[in-house]
Parts: sequence; C-alpha cells; structure tokens
Amino acid sequence: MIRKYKIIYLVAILPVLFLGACEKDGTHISPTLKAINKNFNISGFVLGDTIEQYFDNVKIREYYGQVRTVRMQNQLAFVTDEVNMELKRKSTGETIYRQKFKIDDKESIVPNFYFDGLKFNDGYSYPDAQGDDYTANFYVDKKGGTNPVDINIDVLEYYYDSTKPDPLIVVNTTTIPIAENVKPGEWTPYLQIPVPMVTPQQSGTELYPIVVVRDSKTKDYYVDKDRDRSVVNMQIPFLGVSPGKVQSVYLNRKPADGKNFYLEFYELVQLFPR
Amino acid sequence: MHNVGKLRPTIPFIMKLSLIIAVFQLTFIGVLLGSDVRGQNLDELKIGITLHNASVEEGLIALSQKSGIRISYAEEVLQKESKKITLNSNSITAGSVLRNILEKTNLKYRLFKNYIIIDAKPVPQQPGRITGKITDDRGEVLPGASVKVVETGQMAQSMVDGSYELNIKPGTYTLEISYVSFLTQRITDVVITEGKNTMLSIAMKADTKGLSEVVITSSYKKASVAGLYAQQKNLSNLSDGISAEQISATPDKHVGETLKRITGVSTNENRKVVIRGIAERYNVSLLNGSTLPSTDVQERDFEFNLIPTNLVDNIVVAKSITADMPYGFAGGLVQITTKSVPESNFLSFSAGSSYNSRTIGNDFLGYGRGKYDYLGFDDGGRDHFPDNMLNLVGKFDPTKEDTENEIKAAQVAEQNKRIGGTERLGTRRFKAAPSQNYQLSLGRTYSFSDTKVQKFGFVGSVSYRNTQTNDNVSSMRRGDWAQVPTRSDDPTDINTGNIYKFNTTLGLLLNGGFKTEKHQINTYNLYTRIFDNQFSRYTGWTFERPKNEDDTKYPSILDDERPKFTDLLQNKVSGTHRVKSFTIEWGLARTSLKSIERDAVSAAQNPRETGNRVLYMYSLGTISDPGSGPLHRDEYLYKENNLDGVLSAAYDFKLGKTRHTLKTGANYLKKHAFYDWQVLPITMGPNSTVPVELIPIQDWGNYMSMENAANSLFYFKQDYTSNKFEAKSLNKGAFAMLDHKLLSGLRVVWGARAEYFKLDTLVNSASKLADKNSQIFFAEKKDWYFLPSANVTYSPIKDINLRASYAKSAVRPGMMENSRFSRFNPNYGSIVRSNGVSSTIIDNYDAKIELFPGAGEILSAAYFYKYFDKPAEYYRLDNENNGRGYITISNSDWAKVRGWEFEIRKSLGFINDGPSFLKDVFVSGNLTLQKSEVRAREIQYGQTAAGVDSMYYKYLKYPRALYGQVPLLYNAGIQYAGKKLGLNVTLNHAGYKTFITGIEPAFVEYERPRTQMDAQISYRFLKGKMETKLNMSNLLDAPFRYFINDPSTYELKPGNEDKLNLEWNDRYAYKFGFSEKFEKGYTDPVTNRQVGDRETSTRYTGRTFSLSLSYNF
Repeated sequence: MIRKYKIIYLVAILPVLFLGACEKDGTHISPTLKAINKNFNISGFVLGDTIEQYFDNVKIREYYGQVRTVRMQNQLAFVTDEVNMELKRKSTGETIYRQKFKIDDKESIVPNFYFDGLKFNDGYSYPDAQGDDYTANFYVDKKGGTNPVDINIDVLEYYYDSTKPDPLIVVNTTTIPIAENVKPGEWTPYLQIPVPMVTPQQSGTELYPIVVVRDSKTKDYYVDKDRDRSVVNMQIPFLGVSPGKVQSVYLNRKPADGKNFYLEFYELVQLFPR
Repeated sequence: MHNVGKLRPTIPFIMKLSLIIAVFQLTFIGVLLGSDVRGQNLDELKIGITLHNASVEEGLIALSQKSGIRISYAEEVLQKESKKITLNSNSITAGSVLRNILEKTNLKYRLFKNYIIIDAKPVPQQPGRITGKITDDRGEVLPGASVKVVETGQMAQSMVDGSYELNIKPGTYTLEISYVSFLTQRITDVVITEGKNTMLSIAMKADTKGLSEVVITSSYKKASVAGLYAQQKNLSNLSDGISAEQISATPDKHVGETLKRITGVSTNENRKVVIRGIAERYNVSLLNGSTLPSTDVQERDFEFNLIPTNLVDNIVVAKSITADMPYGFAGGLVQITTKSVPESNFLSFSAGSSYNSRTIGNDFLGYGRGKYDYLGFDDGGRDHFPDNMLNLVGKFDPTKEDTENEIKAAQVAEQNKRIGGTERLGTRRFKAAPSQNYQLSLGRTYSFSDTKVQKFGFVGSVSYRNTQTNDNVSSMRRGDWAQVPTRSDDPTDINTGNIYKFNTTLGLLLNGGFKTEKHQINTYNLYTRIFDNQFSRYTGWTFERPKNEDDTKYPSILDDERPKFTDLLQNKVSGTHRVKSFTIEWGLARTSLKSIERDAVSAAQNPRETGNRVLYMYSLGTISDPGSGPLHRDEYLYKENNLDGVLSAAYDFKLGKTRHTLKTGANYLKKHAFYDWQVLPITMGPNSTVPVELIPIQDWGNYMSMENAANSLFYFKQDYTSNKFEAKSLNKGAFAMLDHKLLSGLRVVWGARAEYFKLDTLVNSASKLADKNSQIFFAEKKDWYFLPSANVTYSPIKDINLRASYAKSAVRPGMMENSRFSRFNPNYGSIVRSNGVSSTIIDNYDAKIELFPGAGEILSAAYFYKYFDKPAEYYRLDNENNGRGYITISNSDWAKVRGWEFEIRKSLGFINDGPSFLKDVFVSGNLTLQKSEVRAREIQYGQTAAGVDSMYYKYLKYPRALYGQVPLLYNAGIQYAGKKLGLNVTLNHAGYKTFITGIEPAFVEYERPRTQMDAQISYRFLKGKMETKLNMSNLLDAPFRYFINDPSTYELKPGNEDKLNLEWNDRYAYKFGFSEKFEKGYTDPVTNRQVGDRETSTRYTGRTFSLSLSYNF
C-alpha cells in the first residue's frame, strides 16, 4: 500500500516538476538599438590580399579593390555605447587596423587607407607630375590571370557608316607601346605615356587613340580577345593641350556573367587626392 | 519472522559473540520482552491503557508494557498497516485491547508457548478468469449462448455482443458451449491461472442436420485458434483490422501509431490517413461510429494521437462498402471503437518523454508565450480582439485634419487601447524542452446479478502531452519564394526555414455501458483540448525580389505564428437490442468543435545593411494597402456542431437450410459551421516620422496614442479582412440490405441506399479585396443519390476466402471548401483559397483472395478499380498570370484508379529446426501498386451572344495522375512478441506522390519517394505490471522532399513557337535526360543557371526517441 502511494505521489509530482522548469518569456533575438549614427565613412583601396571587416567580433563584409561607403553603410547602429571595428588580412587573420566608435561621436570616419596586400598604409603615395609629362604605373591583378600583358596605345583610323551593324569601321591601327611584359601582381615603375603621333593613311577617316591591354605572348586582346573590352579608361596626353599628369592604374580581368569578362579599372591618384 | 521465544535463550551468547550482529538484528526485529503469556487468561487480565492515534506497533508495545505479555512480530508486516488506534480505558481486558488493535487490519494473532505471535493473514487465492467471444463460423456474434464449466457446474451466458466471462478457481477445466441450432462444443484442457485472464473465443458450427446429440470435443489450443480464424475471416471482409489483443502485443501508445500497422494504411505525421495510396480527402475516420471533424479548417486531418491504445477495443479499416455504411469513401473507412465495458478492472498510469534530434539542443523560436501554454490554456495575453471595432477604411486618414475624418483620432486611439499593445510580438529564443506525456486510465466493471448477465462498466482516461518539435526546411522554393538562385554557383542564395511546433494536448475520455444477454447500451464521451502553436520562420529571397548584389543582397524574413486552441467534445449514446430474430441498433451523437486562433501574427522583416550590422526591421503597412499588409495580428474562430443519428433493424430468418438477414435503416447527419475572422493590420501614416527602426516591435504599442495622428502607429481595421462564413449541411439516407448465407461457404450481401445531401452557405464573405465581387460556383448537380452495393464471399475450402464487391459511394465537400475565405499558408508559400467544390461519386470494384495459413497469419491479394466522377483535387492555379499562382481545391472531370494490394503476415514458427522463440516472431509486409489517370478541365469565362456572362469548361485530352495518389506503397516489418521482451522494426516506403496538381508541369508539385524506418523495444517488469517502451522513429532522418518539373527541363517542340493554345503535351517535350520524375540536372555553363527540376521544399523532421513507462496497479 505504502509503495503504491509512493508511486502515485511520485507520478503526480513529476509533471509539476517538468512544468515548473518551463520558460515563458524567452529572449528577443533582435537587439534593441540605442542609436543610429549616420555619419560613418570608410574609404580606401585594397589589393594583393582581401581585407575582412569585423564589427564587435562579427565579420560583416570583405573588401578588395576600392573601399567606399555605399547607401545605408554610412550608418552605425549602436546596441551599446561603443562599436569596435577591426580590419583583418584574410589570408592570415592578422588584425591590421582597429578603430573604436562611440555613440556620441559626431563623425565616425575611417581614414582613407591603402593596403598593398602586406602593409596597411594611411593613403596611397605617388610622385608629383613633372612638367607636361604624363606618367603612369600599372598594376594588373593576378586574380585575372598570371600571364604577362602588354599595355599599348592603339590609334584607330576609322570612318563612320551608320548602315552597318557596327558603324565604326576601323581601316588602320597603329600601336604605340607603353609597357611590355607587365607581370601581374606587381606595380610597374612610373612610365612615361607618349603623345600618340599618327598620320591618317586614308582620306575621310579620323584618328582615335585608346589604351588597350594585350596578352604578351599571344598578342591577343586581354579580355575575351576583344578590343573594346580590353580598353583602359585612362587619360593620354595630347600635344600641347594639357599640363602633366600622374596616374596609377589598377586593372583586373573579372567575370561579367557565365561566359564573358570585363576589365575592372581604378585610377588610384584620383582615389587618393592630395 | 523472528520468533522471540526461540531467541530468548540464545540472546545472551549471541550478544557476547558480536555486537554488530545484535545491532543488525535489533534493527529488523521487533522484540517485546515481558512475562510469560497466559493465553488462556488474556480475557481475564485487566489493564489500564491510553492510546492516542497510535500505530499498530505502538499499540502492541503499549499492550506488552501494560500487560507484561511478550509479543512477537516482524516489523515489515506491521509497516504495511496504516491503521491508527485511539483507546482510553482504565480497566479493559488484554484480549479486548489486542482485538481492538488488530481489527480491520490484515493481521491475526496466535499463542505459541508463552508468546503472542502476530502474523499476516493468509492472502486468499485469487480466482482466474476466462473471457472471450462466441461467434458462428462466419464471425457473427451469438448472444445468449451458454458457457458451462463441466467440473464445477458454473454457468455464464454470452452477452449481446457475444462476449462472456467466468471467474473461476485456478485449475484445468473443460468448458461446454451450447446454443440453439448449433452443435454443442466441449473444450478440454482450459488452464486457468490465478489472477490471470485466459482468452478463449469460440466459433460455433451450425447444426444443419439436427444432430442435437452430437458434441464436438476439441482442445483449448485448437478451439482458440479456430476462434481467432473466425474473427480474422470476419474482419477481413474486404477490410483489415487490428484487435485489442493484437494492439496489446505492440508497443503503441496511441492510435496514430497503430494505424500504420494495418494493411494498405499509412499516416502522415499521425494526422492524415492515406489508404491504398488514396489521399486523406477520400478516407473517412469514425470514432465509435461517428465522424471526426477535422482539427484544421483548410485541410482534412485529425489528431489520432488523442486516443490511447489501451482504451481501444478494435480498429477496422473497411475497404469495401455495404449499404448500411452511412459515410461514403473511396480509399477506406477507419472505424475506431473504444472500450465501454472492460473485461476486468484496471488502473494504469504511464509517463513518457521523447527526444528529437533536430529539436533538443537547438534554439526554439516563437513569439511571447502565455503563462498557461504548457497547460493548454491562454492567460489572456493573446486577447486583442474586442467587440464592436470601427472599420477605418475611407473614414480615417491620418494625414487629414480631424475635422475632415468621419472617425476621429481620439476614437482610433481609444480603439488602439482596447485592442492592446504589442508586447507579445517579436521573435524570441526559447530552450526546447523534451516532450512529455502522462496518462491515467481506469476501468471498472460490475455485475448486478450472479445468475443473469447484467454487467455495468466504464473506462476513463485522462491524458496530458506536451510536444515541441522543430522542423528544418533546408530549401524553400515554393509559391512566392524565389524559384531559382540568381546565380547557380552562389551557395548563399538559398531560402530556408524552420517550423517550430509547440503542442499541448489534454484528453479526457469516459465511456460506459450496460450489457445484458439481449441488450446493450453504451455511452462514449471524448473531450479534447489542444493548444497548437505553429511558428514558421522563413529566410530568403522572394519571387518578386530575387537576390542581387545591390539592393537585395540580404534575405528577408517572414514570421508566421498561429496559436490555436481547440476544444473537441463528442458525446454519443448507442444501443443494440436483440429480440428473438430482430436486432435493432441505434446511435445518437453530438460533436462540437471550437477552434480559435488567438493573436495569430504574420510579420515580414526586411534587411537594412548599415555600416556595422544588418538590421532586420519589421515592416509596417500603409493605409493604401489593398490587403492585410506586411504586419497583422489575426483571430480566426471556427465552430462546428454536428448531430448525427443512426437507426437500423435486422431480421434473421431461414429459408430451408440457408440463413438470411434483412437489414434496413436510416441515418441523419446535420452539420452547422461558423467561421469568423478578424485581421488587424498595424500601419503608419505616410508622413510619419516615428523612428520605428530604433523601437523594438514589442514597444510599438507605446506609439499608438494618436495625440499626433500623423505621427502614430495604429490598427487599421478593414471590413473585408474582418468577416465571416456560416454554412449548414444535411446528409440523410435510408438503406435496405440483404445478407444471404447460402450453401456452405457462400455469402452474398447486397442492397442500396438512397442518400440526400445539401449544403447551404448562409453567410459567405470574401476575405480578399479581389474576391469581393466574385462568386463561388457550387455545382452540386442533385440532392439525392441512389447508391447500390453488393459483396460476395466464397470459401471453397476452409482456409481460403474469395471476395468480390461493387459499390457506389459519394464523398461530400467540406463546409469550408465552399467558402470565399483565403489565407496565406507560409509552408506552401501561397494563398490557399476556395473555388467551390461539389460531391465526388465513386464506383468501387474490388476482388480479393485470402489464405489463412495459421493463427494470426494471412496471405492475401486484392485488385481494385475505382471510377471517380468529379474528383476534387488540390490545384495550383495562376489565373492572375503572376508566375506563382495560388492553391485551391477544385473538381476535375473524372479519374480512374486501379491497383493491386498484397499482404503477408507469417510466424517463423514453421522453421522446425530453429530456436523455439521463432514462433513468437512474425514477419509482415504489404504492398500497394496503383495507377491513376484524370481528365482535367479548365474553367473558361466568356459571354453569350446576348452579352450575358457565362462559363464553360475546356477539357484536357492528356490524362495525368490524380492528386494525392501514391503509385507504390509498401510496409515491411518484423516483430518479436515474447512474454517480457518485444521488438519491432518496420520500414515504410511511399513512392512518388502528386502533392498539388496543376494544368501544366510548372504548377504540379510532387513528393519524392520516402522511406521511413521505425523500431520499438518493450520490456515488461514486475510480473507484467510495469512496462517500458523505447520507440525510435524516423531512424534514417528521411526528409520530406517536394519538386516541380521546372520549365528548364522541357522545350518547345519544333514549329510550335506561335501555337499558344496547344495543350502542354502537344506543345512541349522534356529535354534529353529529363522526365516527369525527379532529375537534379546540371548548371548551364553559358547562363550559369540550373537546368533541372526545382526542389520546392525539403523538410527534415529529425529522429525521435521516446521512452515511456507504464504501470498497471
């Protein structure tokens, strides 16, 4: 009898124990924000290695190429009074830059930086322009391929025929070398960009100089063997027209869709104005 | 027991030997030292004694001290006694005190030499019991048959249901069973064991030659096997079933688990029943003869988990129809009969807990819970729907001055206050608790007469269950979700989700009955309270906003919470009366279902990428939203009251040597359904500057004061989002049926029923603005149907049955299937709406051959063919041409289903040289092979020459598979049922299933084949009183996988570019390597897009391990 009552007692109390241990309110999974600071800015340029951006130990995004603040990224959401940012080298995990932002800061700006794959720099350094000379250095990213490339000015002699599907009819191309055998993954020295001096071969035609990239070995255009896709959108000198200029050209051949590529282009002197 | 008298001379030297031994003995022995007892003087020795609430032991010590008598007893004997003694007397004899102490205890005293020795009274030998059922050799019950114990002359008569019971001293007996017109049977070697029940069901043989003097003598073993045969043969009258004895040999706890053991039956998560590969819509479930309303408004299902197996008398799944069945079906009729009068008294308790591999240890998400969720009741925290709310559409605009609004800001503020705050909103994290369940069952039986059969009894059970599960949806590309990733090589472009289910179920079942030889009246009462909270949370990109690296870089989130409280009450009274050759059966039942979703919430969250984190913000609606908007809290109230009655009379008569039964009767089923819905969108004025991004949603209620109307949040009640549906249906019928038992082994049952059905929608409001001007097309052709049926059974030899049957049946539409209600289903990613459905009329043809090789064994093969006129199917339609469509239920033109069904159940005992336990090992398997074809139709709208709107159908010439069909279904199992240990392993496989059908492959969704493996281990302790069961289900963690034949897998046939009106099969063909079945495909290198079937939903439910312990008191 006693054992029977003990069993009934235990059995009756068991659910009470289970129910007593149950949660009712839970923990909200969305954090409560204290403030949104709308003056955050980050800018810079990254090559050679990817930078990972961490906020409060949570990886938010990666940077490669130009770093800039787009849309709502100019806002910092504060759950506590501080936000800690770290920039890390992706390949090693090493922290290369730290910055703390406070809820009361009027501005939250990361100084414009340049990361060359090894070293984090407070901006990109380049020489001053000399006289009327146009000089430029080039960096071709290894991500687009490891074959060396040639960078030339092609002067197109053309006429216009609107009845053709491609109305630009090129009758002659004159190539003026700027850099040959450029090894991807390294900056070239600053090279002088010559003024393209070409005389038309035919009457009724016009001249149009462009900077193009070719494969050094095959001499094919660098992007999809297509001239127009291999154009570098940099400035070239015209005789007696402009003062001297320094340009630092970053090029990267990137996939556009499943089949085609395009040539990514940044001019670092413009990104890091003095 | 230790005798003090014997100890006394030895105590001195024992104590000298070892103090430890003495301490040990003093611990366990009660020794009262005193002078020699003068037994003969006990009643002469007067003493004074005072006892106040003393225990028996304290009383004896006091008696010994006051009288000086030595009393010897064993402590453990006294400890079992709880009696308390109060006695106060200055002059009382020692004998009186002793008797007073021992009165009403299980103790006695005796005098031994000079001691009083206290002993436990001997336990009287418990009688054994013999129970069973008396039937004829066709399994028909025989009430009033005499069962006599030859050795003792004890007699019993079988009751109206053929059952009998005898309580008898343990021993080996011979029983004699006699019944008018049947040969008397004498069964020898019936062994009755103390306290145990011996089952003996007997099949009587008809006395066709007037051999009243002949007595058939057979052994117990032979007779019980024959009895079982007769029952099996009866059950398998184109039906399959499982009896209480068979259920008790399984470790199943509730009916949901047991159903799967029946041939051709499979269940979907213990809710939806698929029979012979035919979907739940064409199957009917009856509890004690009355239909069970669906616990879901938009789907047909029932929580079979509610019914504990220990209260089940039998489950029969009828697959062919006789005229006396009041409910039409095409797949099967699941008839669950619970006990009303138990064979013996019982009290049992079971407790269990379960662990799910995908739930425990992971976060369990949901909105705020109530204090009593674990008890199945709301604490008021979800009550946000007051009466008399104001409709604001066109009457309140927060951008206007108060004077320009018909409803003023203060009134809106007051309404907001009455509705209440948003404290409960917002997703929270909980810890998932293991499931728990408890059940107490009680059965009592009383006999009012020793001479006559007059038995009253009842069974009852109280059960509680709480289950928490987390289904993981690893891929969601259904309905409104993005159908394909933007780039095939982007592994992050996936849509995923979880379905968190929190379920508390309380069940109360109370059945009772009164049985006599001729009459039986039963009452069945079931009350169920279910709190079911389903919280779905999907993360991904939508069809309209697929992923890109600019503005839809991050996925959006959709929350959907549905806390539903359901009350189901079913009361039934039924009776059977046998008067001479007449049998009258009647039943009256009332069923009410009330299901209320309190504070159901649908909320969309959109991502916003800031510099340091991705914020998810709940989206607010606007006053210009034509619907409920992205955030709304809802209440859905469904009530259904059913009243049904059945009455039948059967007359047994003889014509020559043949026996016949004429049965006629009528049935009535009235249903009344109400559905009310209230949807409250939460909105903000277009110029509001409330910083909602900084305010957590649970605090939004603080910004509803409307002091600055343009800058407040408010509940924007709209008329069409708050409306109702009401409908009544009446189903009545009458039948006449003849049952001929011709020749030996030939039986023909035939008859017809006339059935009336009418459904009236009294109120039928639209819940979508777009549906406000549309009407439901309800094409019920006629009210009355004539439904003939015929069944023939022939047994050419003893162990073989041949059966054939034909029947016409009608499956009726559900009440809500004709409503204009529509609602987004997060797990389908689509709106589910109604287009109006009419009855489906089915011609059923069946043939079956059965072989019974031994007790509990069966081999059978069956063929069936069914013609469905206007089958109702779940369609995905895209009338709005948005590429996604919606889901609706609609009638097709016709369907044909034909298939084979095989079953085997065999003991391994035939392996002569094998170990003896093999006789307890059964292998079983069943296989259903089925093929279906449907002629689909498309509704077309047009105008007559007179300019009147008209509609007509366009019929498709290429047939396709019927919705819900499973062309291949098999179950295989091996079971060991020993006296203590039970083992069971089952494998269930279902082939391709049409989940949702459609007019072209891009809308037809299939479920891929799935194989589920379950195992159970049970063990009985304490002479069978305690049993523990370990159930392991879904051991392979098999997912539920759905797919659509994506348009990337088929192409235009040459020359068909401009032929837009061609049917799909004429216009398109599958590309090489693709078919209607699932093919994953490949990535097209040119487009970087997947070419292959679209995996619309993949859901993992995890492995579940549950342990339960039950104790029979």
